Amino acid sequence: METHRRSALRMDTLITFVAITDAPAEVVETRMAAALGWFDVVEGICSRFDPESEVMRLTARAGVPVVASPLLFPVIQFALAVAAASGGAFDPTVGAALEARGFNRQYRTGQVVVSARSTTQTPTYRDVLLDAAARTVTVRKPLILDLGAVAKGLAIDLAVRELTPLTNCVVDAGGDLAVRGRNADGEPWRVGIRHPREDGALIASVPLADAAICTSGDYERRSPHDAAEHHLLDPRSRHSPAGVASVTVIAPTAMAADALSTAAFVLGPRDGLRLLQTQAMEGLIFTPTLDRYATAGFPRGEP
Amino acid sequence: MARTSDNAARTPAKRGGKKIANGLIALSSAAIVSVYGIGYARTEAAAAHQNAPVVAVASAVIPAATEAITPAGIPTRAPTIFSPAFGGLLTPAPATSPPAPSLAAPTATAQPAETRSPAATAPTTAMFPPAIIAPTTPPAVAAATVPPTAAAAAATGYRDGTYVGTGTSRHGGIEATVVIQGGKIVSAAISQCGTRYSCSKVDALPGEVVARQSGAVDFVSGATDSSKAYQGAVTNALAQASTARKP
Repeated sequence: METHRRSALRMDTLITFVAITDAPAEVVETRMAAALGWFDVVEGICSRFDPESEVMRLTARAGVPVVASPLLFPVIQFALAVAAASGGAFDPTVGAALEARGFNRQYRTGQVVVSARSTTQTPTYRDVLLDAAARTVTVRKPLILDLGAVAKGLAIDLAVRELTPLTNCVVDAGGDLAVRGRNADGEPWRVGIRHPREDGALIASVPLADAAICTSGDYERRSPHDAAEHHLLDPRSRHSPAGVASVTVIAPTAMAADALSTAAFVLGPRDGLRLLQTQAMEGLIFTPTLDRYATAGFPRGEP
Repeated sequence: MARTSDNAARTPAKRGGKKIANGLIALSSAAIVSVYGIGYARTEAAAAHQNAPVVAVASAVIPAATEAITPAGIPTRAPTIFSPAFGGLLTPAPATSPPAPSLAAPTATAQPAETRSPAATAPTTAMFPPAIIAPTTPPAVAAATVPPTAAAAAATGYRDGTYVGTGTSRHGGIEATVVIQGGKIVSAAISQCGTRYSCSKVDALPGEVVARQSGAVDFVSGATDSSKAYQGAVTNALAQASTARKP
């Protein structure tokens, strides 16, 4: 079997596909191109940095039900379900607050997006109403939906579906991964977890098979406006949580792992791991002082 | 480090763990299956004209097979990705088939360049041969039916052209070549790995090369120093492309 590897820049991060397979090179090429295509479709629909994206157009008017596409509707529905399950610790309506903190640059064009959406009435996830039968979304007040975590996870899950026929494959989107099959040694894929305080070092590693893993850290992106704030926001306080340095979640889908790592980050070690356990996922949390918390089933492994 | 497959983190439900009714995993799985089943060509087209409010919708969730995707006369947004490898997938697919990848070889095969590319040469390494992001054309009906989103664009943008930027990580330098067309990034490729570790021609990032050479791990979860170096190289290239005011 041969190892095929491709990288591209999407969703403002580096996407890498790896496939270890007997399939002919043309088939691998086509599958990987299709997998990359999913990132473009999801980003085009879900990006809050593009005023013409479907999600931005959908939330442009308050009080009016709008039919959502078969992709956008389940993304919003899932984001709201995570919001409800986490008691609002995860909340996709933080979009306006994120924009105000400087996470507002459309990376493809370099243009700064400033949306004329009122932030005087602070929205919550309860201000987004869904009608599943009609597939409509109604926002009760002006708001911006930040679907970043869910959309990225969905793109990863769709991409790995494209590659699954190749048997052994990995989709890596800036450190959020989905894996299938086995690595070049015929063993479960070995995934290291980045050390939250030592650049270039690993703090743990896990063997992974047919699962997704996502790590959220306070080290990833700092707000250009306020160095104490990073890209993870507690929607209830509108500030970045200080008690957690890194959360890693393992789940069957990247969509779930991505959203729940964000939720657990805000909830903190005790409530975060409890949420993961009730949802049958595994998690690992480090505090800024590197205290370690983990769900019972989180695989043990030293780097 | 444990290496046995018994220790592998599998889907928790498969290990006989408690199954959660209406749980988030099930919800995400259903979403993935649903979206994938529709196929992205039709998903993209459906999203393009979901811009009109409805007060009441008579039918339940419209099965993809009967959904009108491009009714005659209604322009849709141009697809945001184009590649000859996709062939007919970019036009609305027949209702019955999921996206079937074309098995024909891509019509234009890029030869990976193993040496440093001069800035004037279009990059051919690291990118899917001709995966080009077509500039999106706003639909003609937008002005009439879509309410203004009131997004104020800043005065900055990008000049068309090819730009080379460098970024550094603790393992060495990374060079990225960025191509701007129509004011947008159409490709951002790694054009060189300037580190003391050999970099395979299939564009492994230096940090990952190091990790694999040490035998420790296959991948790293959590944004890595190397991906930041790559982003730094791309940002460096974009800084060269940036204009003070739009042409």
